[in-house]
Amino acid sequence: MNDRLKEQVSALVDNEVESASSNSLDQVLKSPELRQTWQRYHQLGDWMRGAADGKVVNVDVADRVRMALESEPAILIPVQSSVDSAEATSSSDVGANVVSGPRPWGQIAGIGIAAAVASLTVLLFQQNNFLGLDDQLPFLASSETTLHSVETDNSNVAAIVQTAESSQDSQADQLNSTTQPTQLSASFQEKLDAYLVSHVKQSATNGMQGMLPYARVVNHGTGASVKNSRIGRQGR
Amino acid sequence: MSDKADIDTELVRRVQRGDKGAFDLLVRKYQQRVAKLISRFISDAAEVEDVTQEAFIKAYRALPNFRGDSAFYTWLYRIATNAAKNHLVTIRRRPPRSDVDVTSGATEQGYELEGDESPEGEMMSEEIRRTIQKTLEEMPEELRLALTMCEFDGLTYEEISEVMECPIGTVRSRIFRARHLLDSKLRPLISEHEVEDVV
Repeated sequence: MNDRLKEQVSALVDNEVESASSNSLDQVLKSPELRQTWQRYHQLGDWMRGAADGKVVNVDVADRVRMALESEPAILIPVQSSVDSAEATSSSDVGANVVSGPRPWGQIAGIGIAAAVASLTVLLFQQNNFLGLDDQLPFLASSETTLHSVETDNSNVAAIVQTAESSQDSQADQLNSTTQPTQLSASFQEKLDAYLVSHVKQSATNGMQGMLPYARVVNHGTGASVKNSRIGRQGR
Repeated sequence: MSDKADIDTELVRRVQRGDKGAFDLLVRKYQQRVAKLISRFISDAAEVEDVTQEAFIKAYRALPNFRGDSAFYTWLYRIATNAAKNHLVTIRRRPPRSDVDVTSGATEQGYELEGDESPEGEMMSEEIRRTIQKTLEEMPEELRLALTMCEFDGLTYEEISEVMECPIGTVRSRIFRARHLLDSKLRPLISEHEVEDVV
């Protein structure tokens, strides 16, 4: 073995190399003979000190430990950023000799925000795009629709009568004569029936008001009396 | 000194990256000191070896949690002390009531636990002691001074170079030559002992 290499090992034993990742350490790690030299030079120092204090111990468990660790998984720790390393170095508490794992709060907050947005999207979809009645709903809401009589026979709404609101002015008679309860078109009524039935079921399961803001206000006849419609609640 | 590498830190870093060979170097470096510490608790030489091995295995398993705020050997000595105490509890002996000093192995109360080393072990230790003493006496003074200042006084190469008034490279060379000389005298002794063990 080259004496120059052994001299490098000797300096390495004394921590007298400029850089820990220097070639000398790599060479020791690769060469079994240099490993032995590394071991003996450390042993010499221990024995010299042991001889001085009267206690020389001679053990060699390196091979036994190596064999015992062969079945152990290799340790793999993610490389920490320089900021984390600085924080770790400055920490002085007793339990600080522990590698801190990745902080989960950012991930949790992100997942929470994503879940909230998804929930909001679903709710809006359910409320506004149900059965494709987007066009009719504004009409129902804006026109003063009277839910004259809603009869629920298990799942059907009997009739929806729209009456134009008659004001209390002098044109009431004329308006009443021209605004007789009008039957909605059959296709629309069928669609609306199905919608209301589904709405009742939906509102029973998710506790939403759904169409109630549109359907509850009832203007009955020409008078000012207002009564709430009877809405089937068999689904509740 | 500030730009000097910390070999232990580098080796630990390499182990934490999956290099088991780096841990082997740590074992080879510290096994004598760990065994000496454990021998303060446990007298039987075979048990000392077993517990030393166990301490290193425990250290390896705990290394993922080692962040390096304390020196590696301080951390290792704590593990070794606990391993020795646990061993004593396991075999229903009473562990010492006070802690053992990390660096010297002496207890806080100032006494060392008695060890009943085997006659062979005692003889071997005595031979090693005598050989070291004799070799140090016989080697050139500049080699002996450089080595003893390094090993006993813990001086750096730079500090030794100032004391000896010579370049750092010369210090480095002298220390190596002194070690080489000692090693050449002690190696036959160890080989002889290992042969006796086998027989």
